[in-house]
Amino acid sequence: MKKFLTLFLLGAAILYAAEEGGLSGRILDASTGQPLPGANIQITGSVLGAVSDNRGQFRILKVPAGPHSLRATYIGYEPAAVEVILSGAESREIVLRLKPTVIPMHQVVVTGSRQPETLASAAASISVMDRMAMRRRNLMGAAEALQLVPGVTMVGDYITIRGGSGYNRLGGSRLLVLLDEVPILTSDLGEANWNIVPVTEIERMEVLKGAASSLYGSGAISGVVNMITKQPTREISLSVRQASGLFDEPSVPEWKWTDQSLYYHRSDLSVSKSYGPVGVRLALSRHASTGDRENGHFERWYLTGKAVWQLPSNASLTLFSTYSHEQRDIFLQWLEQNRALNVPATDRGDRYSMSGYVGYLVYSQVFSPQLSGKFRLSFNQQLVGVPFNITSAFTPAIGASGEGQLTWQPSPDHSLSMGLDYKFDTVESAYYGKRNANAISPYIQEIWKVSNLLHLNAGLRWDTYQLVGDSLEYQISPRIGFSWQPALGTILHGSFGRGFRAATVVERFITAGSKDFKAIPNPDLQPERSILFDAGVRQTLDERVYLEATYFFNRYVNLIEPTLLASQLAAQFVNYPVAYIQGIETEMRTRFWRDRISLQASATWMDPRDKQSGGPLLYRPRFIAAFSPSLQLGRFSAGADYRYIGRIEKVAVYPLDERVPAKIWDLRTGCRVRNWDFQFVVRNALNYNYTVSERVLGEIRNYMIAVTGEI
Amino acid sequence: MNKKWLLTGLALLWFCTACEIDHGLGLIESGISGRVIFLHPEKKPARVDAVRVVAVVNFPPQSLGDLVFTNTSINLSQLTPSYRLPAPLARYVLVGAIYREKGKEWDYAKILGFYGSNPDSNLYDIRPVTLSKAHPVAAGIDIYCDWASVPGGGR
Repeated sequence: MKKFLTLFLLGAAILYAAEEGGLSGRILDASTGQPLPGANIQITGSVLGAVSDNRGQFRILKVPAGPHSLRATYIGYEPAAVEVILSGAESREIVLRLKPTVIPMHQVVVTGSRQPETLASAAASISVMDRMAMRRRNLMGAAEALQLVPGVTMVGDYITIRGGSGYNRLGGSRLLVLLDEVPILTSDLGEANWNIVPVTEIERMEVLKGAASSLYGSGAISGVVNMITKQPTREISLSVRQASGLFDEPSVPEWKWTDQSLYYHRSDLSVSKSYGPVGVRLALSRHASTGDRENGHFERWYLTGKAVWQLPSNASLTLFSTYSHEQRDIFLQWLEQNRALNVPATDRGDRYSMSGYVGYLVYSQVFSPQLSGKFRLSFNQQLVGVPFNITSAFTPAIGASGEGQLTWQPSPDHSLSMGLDYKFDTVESAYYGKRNANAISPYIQEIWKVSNLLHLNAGLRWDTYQLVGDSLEYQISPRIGFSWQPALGTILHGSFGRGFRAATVVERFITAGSKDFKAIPNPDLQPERSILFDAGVRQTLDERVYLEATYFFNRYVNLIEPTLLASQLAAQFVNYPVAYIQGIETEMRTRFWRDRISLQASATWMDPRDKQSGGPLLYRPRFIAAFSPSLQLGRFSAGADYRYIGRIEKVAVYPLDERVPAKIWDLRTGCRVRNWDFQFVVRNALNYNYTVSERVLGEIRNYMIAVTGEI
Repeated sequence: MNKKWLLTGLALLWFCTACEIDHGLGLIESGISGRVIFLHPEKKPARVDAVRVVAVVNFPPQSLGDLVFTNTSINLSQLTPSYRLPAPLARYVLVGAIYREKGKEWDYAKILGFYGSNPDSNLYDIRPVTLSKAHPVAAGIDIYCDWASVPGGGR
């Protein structure tokens, strides 16, 4: 079998090595001449393509002789295309200049269908947060990047899409988090460690909302976040960022708990270079803070490396490795509302450490302009740190996985992806014993371009999950979708599919306790299953205004949620038989005054409901909104981000506590000098007080200066 | 042109200062206060290490949501320590004190005493406490706790 595969790969390589040339060049901003890193370049009607590096450079090898259409796309820019005729083994240098636009529909994304497609043709709802948007905001962590994405909100440390999850301490994520398409949820808690990779190493974040299990399997029950990391550059490149901030005093004088200055620092350094066919990227980051409250101190280190080896015969090998380590004090809840920045005396000095390692190896091969393959091995070892001071009772949770995927374009109108996913988890703790699990899932998906105006897709995935010594859980998850352009500037889209999530080891088996709280196991927990539907319209007006509205309806069966037992302070995970979440998500973007002013706004209304009780689901807001105006005057810029999260209607532990909606203004101003950005940022500018989870106050106002640049 | 910008700036400044800024959560003004009066202190079992004051909206409580409690233990070295329990506006059918044994979890069935009772006078009448907008603070809510009533406490 191995021999056959080797022969097949060699044969395919030799067959297509003859009469092939190459295309290389740069992608630039038409108005400023600045390079556009992370732009997508594709040879139309084939699987050949590339992504531009930090200097906007790209290279596509083994392009067959003949005429080709080369198309470059980048978020926030109009696409540009050029016709090229290659004769023999000729190599051609091309420069494409892209004009800025507010229309995001030309942006190429990969998460919606596991292959490149434009947002315009995507059947699913997808949002993108690109590197420039993240850089402008000087984010401290990857999760912060998602807070302005329509339909996404953060409850505590938990990111939730369209109300799919509430605050679920110790519960698994209903959002699958990928790092370059590699799943990185922890094997024990099934939760995301958003700090596994420094935010400065992320090229863009794609958020896929709605039915995703048919492509990604267990965990992707309400959506997927794919963090796509930066590529190594061809020439040497050094990037640095230094950000330092100072916390203000609380707006309630009685909350002041120390006379010392409270501050934070973040330093990011990365270097990138190519040595012949091998591109290498290394990054080191440190983030430390006193915190704005008692028990708020933490220190975190990151070390990240990426190597991409362009092999002959149109193949590449990518090796990625990231490690993060953190030590932090624990602020579980305030002492009392009148001393909201203090912890109970018994919690004082409680701390834990957490560390995580994720590594993957991906071999990509373009066998022909119509056939490509990708084979991946990945390793995920994390000790996320159970939020009680019992970390020493846990060994790191380990997940090892492998995947093979083939993409075949038998004709320009059809594209077929198929693959097999395997994952092995092993976890051990005094609190849930030693558990091993296997998951094997084959999948297939077809995208059919019926015409330039109508695209259909259909997919099927068979998920199996089995804890060793336990019964097999499985589900067949189909998904269908369409995008249709009935008129110029109008796109209708819709998707329907099923989702699946097996209960995590922690949800089923944890037996733990702290001074004030304990968890009771429930080995009979059933997997969650969902049916997700969404349909919407994307509308552009005069190339200056972009509008999007989507209706979604999600039905969950056996939703796993915590329940609290009153006689003792204890929690247990149980299945809610049926729950519904429906809502409407809207977005608007526009630019005016010769593109100097841009506005982006979104609003999402949701109705999350438990069918049995008829009441709302725990920890979900009904309404969220965001508003981001910005101004660019030459090298000077200013902007603001406003986030509104409606009052949480139902909470589990302290329903009598006063709850308010979150209304947060972040302000920023900056100046760009050559390759350097100097910024001043005020976070929570109005010093507004709200709780991010029960009895945990949101961050108080702080002032930050930051310098970011490339050499 | 400069004048225009200056006027606009001043107008914005005036607008900002004229606005009343909403700061969201603040101090909780409502609450219950009083004393915890320990009876038969010589009979306090050594295994008890903490006492909390708790106010209950429904009794018996159906969920943790029915309870409001102090995050800190009452000072056990005093005979009549005072307490203040910040509590939202509601009608509390029972205000009492519960105890915790060393090395064990809090158990809300371990009631040491409640408002309305006075074992010395043989009174065992549970008295509710209502916090309203008109009366957000209830003072003088004394809770009698008899250590002799604790199993192993001598009675």
